[in-house]
This record gives sequence, structure tokens and C-alpha cells, in this order.
Amino acid sequence: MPIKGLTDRGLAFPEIGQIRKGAKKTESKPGADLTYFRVEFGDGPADQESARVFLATYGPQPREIRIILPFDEIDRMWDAWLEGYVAGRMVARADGDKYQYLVSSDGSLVVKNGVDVKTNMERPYIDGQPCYWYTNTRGERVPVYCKPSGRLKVIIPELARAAYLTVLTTSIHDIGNISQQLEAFRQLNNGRIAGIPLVLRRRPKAISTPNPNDPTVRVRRVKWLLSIEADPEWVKLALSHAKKLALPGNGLPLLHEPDPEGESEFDQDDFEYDYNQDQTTPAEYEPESQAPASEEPESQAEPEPKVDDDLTEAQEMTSTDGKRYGDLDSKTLYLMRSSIQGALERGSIKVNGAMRELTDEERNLRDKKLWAINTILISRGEKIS
Amino acid sequence: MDVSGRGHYTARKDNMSEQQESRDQVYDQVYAPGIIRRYVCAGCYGQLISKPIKGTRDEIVFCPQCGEHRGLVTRRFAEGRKDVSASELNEVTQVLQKAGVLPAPVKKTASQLLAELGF
Repeated sequence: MPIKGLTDRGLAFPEIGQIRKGAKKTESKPGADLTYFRVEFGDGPADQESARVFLATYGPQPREIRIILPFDEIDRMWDAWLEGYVAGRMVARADGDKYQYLVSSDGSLVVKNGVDVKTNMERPYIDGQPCYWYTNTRGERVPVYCKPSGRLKVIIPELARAAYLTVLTTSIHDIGNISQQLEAFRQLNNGRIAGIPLVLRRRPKAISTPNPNDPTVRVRRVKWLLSIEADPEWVKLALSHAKKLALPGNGLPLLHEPDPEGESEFDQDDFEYDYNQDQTTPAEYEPESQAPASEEPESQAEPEPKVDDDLTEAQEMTSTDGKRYGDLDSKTLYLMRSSIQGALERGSIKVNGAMRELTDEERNLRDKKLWAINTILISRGEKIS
Repeated sequence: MDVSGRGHYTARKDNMSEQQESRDQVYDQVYAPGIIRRYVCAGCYGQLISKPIKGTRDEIVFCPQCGEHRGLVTRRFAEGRKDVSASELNEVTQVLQKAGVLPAPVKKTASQLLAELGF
């Protein structure tokens, strides 16, 4: 039998604590929402030492925590599902479209790995429909509904341990936010997010919530939502690195630059050819050709194009399979452009065989992708209809 | 038959919320052994045990280490997590060494290794 704190569930990469948004729940109701994080550690000696280090670094009521994500693949560290629980165990899990896991009231397994065990088909999830029923102490049948549940594995660098804490949230706003932010980091960093220094913050935001006195009415309330942001120093370094890579010659000087402090070893008259203009030379100057009469003179180097920050940003965007837009050929870009334009015009996308309306975030992302593709095509001299 | 056995469970406070009630790990005595066989504690992945509730046909299923309300996960899930955990540790260790959180491994020379081995 495992010993608490010493075996850590028998995991080599263990969970040593949890980061929560609300106060501890009471006997009769859930805990109140807080404006800071409530962090709990395990009971073992190593976990308690980590708790001490955390407290010394962040204090008892931290609003921001420096984190590192453990993996590049988002679904290995971020779980967001609609889940139903009864008697301490999960009885239903859905992705909003279909059930991934479902247990019936008699205890038998109905859906496993997204497929009905009897019919071998998907079982659709319908919002507002109970996923389970149980009988309460008064003999009444009580429905159980699935609720959103988000779990993010994070490593706190100050603890200097190969162990994670789980950030827990049941807010659909947090779940949407975190999903978008992780995907954005992954796209901006060419599919890599593990090891990037990030900051997990609680930020106040006014959101629509049901009025407890009248559920048919919604009111706007300020809630302290989760936000994952990149460390500013890392952002500065990453942007300057991307800019350097985008420059011809990786930012190294390709032409000799005149010495501003002393006399140049070259005479000014030697620089009569203006590379920013066309190739024709002025009539009063004819350069002396050094090449033998039988050989063609070397062609002049084409003027280097001015580096455009927008073009750099567009080229650095990556597709869902991690390829840089700048590396894709024009034909592929045209196909992608057509697909994105279609989705934006319809206002919907096909997910698991069914059409679903685009959310605002999805629309914005597609707009940005369309802008990037158009920018690259224009820079290549391609036609944009 | 309702496997959770709630219809027979009367030894709780009447004013307990349904939210609280649904968290209690209470099962009909017929189904409790099956739950213990198929599930482990969500907190420590340890073996569950049960105790009967006096005056009813129900039993509370709980973990002797973590208590009554820690939750249950399937044994299969727990074993799956243990299987991948070792490879996760390797991967995460490299990430943390690259990020400067963990110290890089110290490369030892051949003579140092031999000395450690007693040669």
C-alpha cells in the first residue's frame, strides 16, 4: 500500500500540489471566489519543503506565479472537459459534441473512448440534458449535469523539482482563455512551449453571470480570471531573435560600411553606383571593366529589399502542423487562403462531421491567418483577388 | 437498481445540500465490492476499503490514507498514468535542464568513473 507523501501515487513525474481559485469548500456550499491563488501542497516532507519555498517566494496570497509548461503538446498538460461526478467518481465526460466516457445509473459502462460499447457509434452530448440520475435520501430521482472542468499541469521553477502542480478551474471563460493562449504561444514559437518562462496571473474582468435572485436575468460582475502571459524579458529576446533571422545575412553587414570616425580607405568617388536606383549608369561615368574581353561582365547584385516588420511577423506564423508560413509555397498558401475565407464567409466550421458556428476568438485567429497569407503572397508578387 | 444506494441512506443531515450529498462516496453493499475492485483513490492511487453504515444497506468507500472525500479514479487510469510517468520524467528533466531550473548533468571522465567503481 503506498504511503502518502513518500510514494506520490507511484509516479515518477508526480503532482505535488494544486493551485485553486476559490476558498476551501464548507459542509454546505462551495468556497467563495478569491482574488488570488490558493495553493495546496502534499503532506510529504519534500512537498512541505516545497510549500515553504513557495511561501517564501510568493507569500500567502499570490496573484501571479511564474510557471514553466512541461510539454510541447498542449493536450498532454491541459485537460478541458465537461464532466459529471457522483459519489466521488466521474460518471460522464464530454467534449461538448459527444460523450467520451459515460456510465449508466446501474453502474454499467455505456461509452468508452468516445464510442458506445454496444453500438460502436458516437453518443452525442446535448447541453442541458442530464448525464446521470441518482436517488437522494428522500427517495427522489436527482439529475446530474456535466460541468466544465479545466486542469493545467505547471512546473514552478523556484521549487527546482521535476514535479508539477495542477491549476484547477471550472470557469468556461478561463477554459476558453487558456486554450487560446496556449495555442497562440505554440504558434508564435514554432510549435514549442515547453520551457518558456511564463507567468500565471489572475486578472479582473467583467463577465456576464446569472443573477442569483433571478436566474433568467444576467448581470455583469467582475471576476478574477486566469491569464497565462509570457515573461517580458523572454518576449523581448524572442522578438529580437525572430527579427535577426528574418534579416538578410542574419543581420550581419553584407556591404562594407564607411568608417564614421576616420578617413575611409576607399575614395568617395568609388561609391558612385546607387543600389537603390535602377541599373542604368549615368552617362558621365562608365565603370572600367576588369573582365577579359571574351567574358561577360559580372552582373550587378540586385538591390536588397527593405525588411518589413509585418512581413516578418507574417512569415513567422505557423500552420497547425508547425510549418512556417514563410516556408510554404504559394500554391499551398492559396489553398489555405481559400479554406479560411470560406470559413469566415460561412461563419462556421465543420467539427467531427457537424457544422459549428465560429467563436469570436476563432474568427480573430482566422482573420490574422488570412492577413499573414495575403502579406506573404503580395510580397512574392502574387495576385490577390 | 440505483448503484449509489442513496435511497437507503438515511443517517445524514436532512439539510445537507445535494452537491454535498453527491460527493459522498456511498454505495449499496451489493455494489461496493465492485467499486473497490475497479477503482483506486484519486489522491494516492491506493487501495480503497469500505465500512458499513449502521442501520442501512449502504457502505462508505474510502481511502485509509486520504479519507472519505478524495474521490475515485479507475484502476486502469491509475496504471496508465504510472506507465507514462517515467518517460514524462525524462522529457521534463531535459526541459528543466535546458531552462536552467535543474543543474545540467555533470560529465565524468573515464578515470573518475573507474575510481568510483573501485579500480
